[in-house]
Amino acid sequence: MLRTVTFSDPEVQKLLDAQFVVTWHNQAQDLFPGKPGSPSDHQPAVSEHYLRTFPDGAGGGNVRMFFCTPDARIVHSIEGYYRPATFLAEVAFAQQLMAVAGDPAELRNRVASRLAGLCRELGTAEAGAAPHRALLQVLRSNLERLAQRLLEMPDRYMVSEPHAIA
Amino acid sequence: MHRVFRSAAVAWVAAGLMGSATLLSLIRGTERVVATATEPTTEAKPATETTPHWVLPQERARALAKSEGRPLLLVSLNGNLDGYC
Repeated sequence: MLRTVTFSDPEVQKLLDAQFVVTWHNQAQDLFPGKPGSPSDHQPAVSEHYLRTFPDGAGGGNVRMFFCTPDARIVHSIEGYYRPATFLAEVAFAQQLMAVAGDPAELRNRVASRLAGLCRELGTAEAGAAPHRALLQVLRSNLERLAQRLLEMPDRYMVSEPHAIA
Repeated sequence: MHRVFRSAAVAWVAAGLMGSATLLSLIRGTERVVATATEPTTEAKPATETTPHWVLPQERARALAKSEGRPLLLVSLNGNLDGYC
């Protein structure tokens, strides 16, 4: 869905192409024995039913995205699949953090501030709005993890050799 | 006379079988139409089937980000860009 939905959204494409250098990493190469699992591999179409029912923010560590400074220091990170609107909001937040990446104290303040805001929102979110609450919880977890690795390098997800991309 | 009756019986059985087959195929056809109407989703096409041109191999991307001073977005997945999600 990331490729067929979010990365296919014109606004997402325009923003990422203009503002970021985008690369990828296959965290489970053993899923494709003897093959690096190129992003060019054919994928079956995602059905509208699957798209409708797949929750925004779900998927956990199957998808990890690290927004990094030019020298590959993490300023924002998210886990899971996001629909274009949610993803664009995360990109916007990443850009705000990028602007203060040179000031670690301010960077931590911004992350802590958003985390506090999400906790407040979770406190007031209606119990019946389960999908919204679930998304808020995912976003909160993202920030809790981020706080632990701000300005570190995502070493575990870096490769020493480029993947073969067809 | 006996032969005439036997031919008529065979004809009736054959007609019955053909009728059943036709009915079955009609029913199946109807089911297919209903399924398509309620789940058009299986026909959905991905908006793109190829890697966006701006997704670069990691070493190249990291070198480019550094040399141009542009932020880097690293997408790590199980499998490829669609992976499980």
